[in-house]
Amino acid sequence: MTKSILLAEDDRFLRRACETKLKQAGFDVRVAVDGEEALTCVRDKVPDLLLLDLLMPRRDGLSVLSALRGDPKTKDIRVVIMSNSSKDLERQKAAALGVVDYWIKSNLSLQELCDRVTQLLNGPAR
Amino acid sequence: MAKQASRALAGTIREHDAALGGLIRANPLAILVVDADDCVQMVNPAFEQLFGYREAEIIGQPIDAFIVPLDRTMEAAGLSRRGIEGKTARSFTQRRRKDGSLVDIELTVVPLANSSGTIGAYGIFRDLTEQKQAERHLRAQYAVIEALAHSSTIEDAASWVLRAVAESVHWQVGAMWLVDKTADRLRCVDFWCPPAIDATAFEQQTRASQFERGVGPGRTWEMNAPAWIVDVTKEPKFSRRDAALAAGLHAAFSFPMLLDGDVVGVVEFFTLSVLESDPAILKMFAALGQQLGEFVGRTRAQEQLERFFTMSGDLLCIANFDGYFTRVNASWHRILGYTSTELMSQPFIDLVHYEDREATMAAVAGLTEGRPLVAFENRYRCKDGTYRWLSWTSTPKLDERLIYAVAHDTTDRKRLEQQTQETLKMRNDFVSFVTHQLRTPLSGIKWMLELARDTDDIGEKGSYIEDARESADRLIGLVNDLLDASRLESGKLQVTLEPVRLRQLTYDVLADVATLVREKDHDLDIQSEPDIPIALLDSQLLRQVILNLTSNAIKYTPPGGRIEIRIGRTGPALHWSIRDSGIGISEESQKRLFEKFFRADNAHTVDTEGTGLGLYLVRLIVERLGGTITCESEVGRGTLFHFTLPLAAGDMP
Repeated sequence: MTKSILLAEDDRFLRRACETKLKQAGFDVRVAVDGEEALTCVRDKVPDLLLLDLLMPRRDGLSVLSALRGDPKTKDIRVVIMSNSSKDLERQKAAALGVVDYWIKSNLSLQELCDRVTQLLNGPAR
Repeated sequence: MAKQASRALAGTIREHDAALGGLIRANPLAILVVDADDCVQMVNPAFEQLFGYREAEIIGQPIDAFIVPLDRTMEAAGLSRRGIEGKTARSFTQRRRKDGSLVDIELTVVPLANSSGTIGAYGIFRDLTEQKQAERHLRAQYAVIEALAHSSTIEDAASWVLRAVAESVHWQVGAMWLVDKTADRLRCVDFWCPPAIDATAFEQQTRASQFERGVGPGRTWEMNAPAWIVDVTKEPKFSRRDAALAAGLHAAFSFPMLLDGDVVGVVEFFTLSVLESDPAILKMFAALGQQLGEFVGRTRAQEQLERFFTMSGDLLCIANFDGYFTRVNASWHRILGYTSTELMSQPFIDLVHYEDREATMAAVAGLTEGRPLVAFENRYRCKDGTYRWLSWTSTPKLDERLIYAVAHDTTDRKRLEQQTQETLKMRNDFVSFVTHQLRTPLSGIKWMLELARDTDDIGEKGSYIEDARESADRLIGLVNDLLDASRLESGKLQVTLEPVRLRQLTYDVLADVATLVREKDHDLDIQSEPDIPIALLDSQLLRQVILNLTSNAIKYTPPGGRIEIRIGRTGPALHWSIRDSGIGISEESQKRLFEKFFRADNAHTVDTEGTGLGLYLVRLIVERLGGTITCESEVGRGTLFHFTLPLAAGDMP
């Protein structure tokens, strides 16, 4: 069964690149351009994985995450933070809100990103 | 007749004396025999030695003419009369030597009688010089001790000391000199002279003089030993010779004031007579010099301590165990603003910040139990209501029930530490922020190129590469902004002045952002006063300012908003304003709006790509062009930015 991913990313270049790559890999990818939209999308349909940017307009990633954890319908959603910020404080806050992982976008190639997502969603590479 | 009688008398006496084995001649007391007319009949060798007259010089002469001082004639006559009347008399008095000097004596007059009655008298003189001198020296010593005891400095004591010494040795004029270590000179501290002597010129010259080592009193300084001058008026090297001559001064002696063997000063005395060196005087003053030197040392040590206390930049105080200051130095007034009376009239704990009181009381309790205090910090309230941080080092003295304490004002250091912390935090924020801002377009470039590499579709490839290029542009924009900021900050940015039409420039910028305005459906209204002159400005920099402010207005105003631009002139200044109906800026954020990397708290809700450099650059540019920029705003209502620029000197109409 095709796994679904919600990509919350405000930068249109990164959003386009990610979306393209993950779709090429066969995932069902939806996108949100800011925090509010991300929240609406999740509530509309909880994806198998939320790739969540932190610094976004209207509502930042941590606020989205905390809202999701507070809602019984969405509290168990799997979330990976994708940020270009390497502030320890943000890592700690994200960890406290129970994220699967915290990735620095610029340190990953699209392929690596895609492989990690695949591994997360489909288990170890066959 | 009388002469014959006299000769007979002298002969008789000599015979008697010889018969008694030279009782008179060999007597160590000075003995004189006069006849009933007070004429000398005989003197013994002791007399000759005491008064300096040979017997032959005065025999047969009235004794009054030789050894009686003018002011003692009545007294001498009285004594003689009593002797002639057959009575024994005794007096403690003075007589004059041949050299003019006075000698203290005890004089006993014994009648000389034979069967026909009193025919003359013996005068027996006992030299009291040594005894008198010892008495006077004792008195002088006592007067000096008293003067020193009542003085806190040698300057205060000087006049009393000089007077006491001068009077005790019957010298008239005294001067005290202290060594000025910096100038390496002797400086006159005080001068004393009795009113009866007119030594005005000598005093003036003495007080105005300074002597090096080896000159004048400086000789005593250099030699570290007393000195005696028999007659200063005969001394060609004596610089105050003429003035001394005018005052009638002749003999002089000086002695050093010694502290631990070092000369700290010199005392000199002058007298009206020409006198040979007197070992007794010199001996006495060696001891006095020591005493004066030690006094100088003591008062200096005290002065130094006092100065240390007064001049210390730190807050020095003594407090009692009851919780009151008993002594504070001047720094308390300087730093906290209270008078010492104010400080000492209330428990010091009342001045301590209430948050620090408990700790302070615990510290004081420790002190009263004998535990010294080091680096204890608390805050004291100043008279103006502000607080200063003080760092204490305190020591208790249990037997006195006193605390000796030094407090250092660490307020500035604390502030600096805080600033450093803030700067450090800002730098960290800057690094993480810039890191984030640089990584985003870099990731964009990297990922777009990766996609382009992996696709065979030429159209797709081109589209990815175009996005990569755009990301690169954004990256370059950011780097350029950082560079501009850095150049403006260091003043290295070149400003190129050229004629600029402010209205035209505004329209040009608006053409560039027209698409954005249309997309957000803003209502744009521009009004310009008709007579806007052409100004000499840097068009590139000005363009950057206008583009930045208009882009912000468009960006931070929700769709369908209203943006008004006004261009005008007031006197020698151009002004330009832009008002939007956007999200506004909180008062808190307005204060820091033009700071580097500052972003208003609500800016992220609209745009995450902002660098916090835009308005900072705008301010730097406007200021560089000699203008000012201000902002008025209300959250949710909109914002007005307004800047003015001076019309440069070469304005065109």
